[in-house]
Amino acid sequence: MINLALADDQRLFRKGLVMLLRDMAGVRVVLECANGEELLLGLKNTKVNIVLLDLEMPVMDGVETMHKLRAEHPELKVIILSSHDGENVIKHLMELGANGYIPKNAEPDEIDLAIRSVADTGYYFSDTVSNAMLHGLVKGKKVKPNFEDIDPLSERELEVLRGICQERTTAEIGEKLFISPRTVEFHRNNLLLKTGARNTAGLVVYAMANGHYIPL
Amino acid sequence: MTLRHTDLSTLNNLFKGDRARISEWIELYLEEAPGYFKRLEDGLRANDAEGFAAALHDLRPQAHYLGAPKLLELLLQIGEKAGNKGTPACSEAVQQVLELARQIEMELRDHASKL
Repeated sequence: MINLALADDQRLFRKGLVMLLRDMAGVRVVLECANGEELLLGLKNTKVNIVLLDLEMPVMDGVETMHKLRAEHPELKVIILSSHDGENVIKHLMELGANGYIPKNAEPDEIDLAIRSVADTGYYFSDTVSNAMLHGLVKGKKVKPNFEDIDPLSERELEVLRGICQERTTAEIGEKLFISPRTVEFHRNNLLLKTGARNTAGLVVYAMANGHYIPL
Repeated sequence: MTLRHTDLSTLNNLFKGDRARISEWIELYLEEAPGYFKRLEDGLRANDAEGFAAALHDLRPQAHYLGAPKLLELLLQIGEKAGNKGTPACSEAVQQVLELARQIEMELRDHASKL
């Protein structure tokens, strides 16, 4: 069961989302909050796997909440739910350690997919966001990766990296490469160490910035 | 009463045609919406640009869910005008929004009673 927390100041939006999530198998909303402060307070007593976090909230907004979540609950996965899909905002949120980003007007199926993808693989970014990232990171050359001093990635690590970018689960990557899930995890950890990425989303950024993966 | 100002296909799609949930959302809107519009009015009256912008921000997604293009267009226009000419310049447009909101409310109440 995936335990969700939902932080959004718009009660109507929040309730609508709760109504949607009610029908999703294996998912339950265990915490509803109107701002980041309420969320952090609620997390002290509630076991949560994924947070759906709005950006614009009074008292404590999404960005400040992200900072605190990463410091106090590094294990928590965070999906940003917002109407801002500007390249800079997305890039900044990824740097802060967001695991996913979906627009507020996303279809129910996309919300479902995002939650399951973040639970399984640790990240989800909608097509719009992936394209924005690709544009900013690869074509625009706005971000210069500073990974020059790292050991080069091995062929196997690159295969695992590409599997991660294709949103495959650990088990699926293992099956495709004929290695055990544990070995996949070993390579994933090496990738994190070598690239300096903080999470799977960071690995995707690295892969795209360095031309190891280009979404179709 | 036919739906003149709203098109509930977005809600219908969102809740996969589940009438009970569409009705639940409409009830919630009818409960919450007056508060949103009051904040817009209050922001205008007090020349509170921040509060005014926040109310606009909160109202826009509701217009989207309601499939109310005229309301959405007015809200966008107000946002632009407030940015260029300041909150007080939006007085007339806010009155239009409030009138439209009243009509939408009547429309929804009528529709909800038939669901």
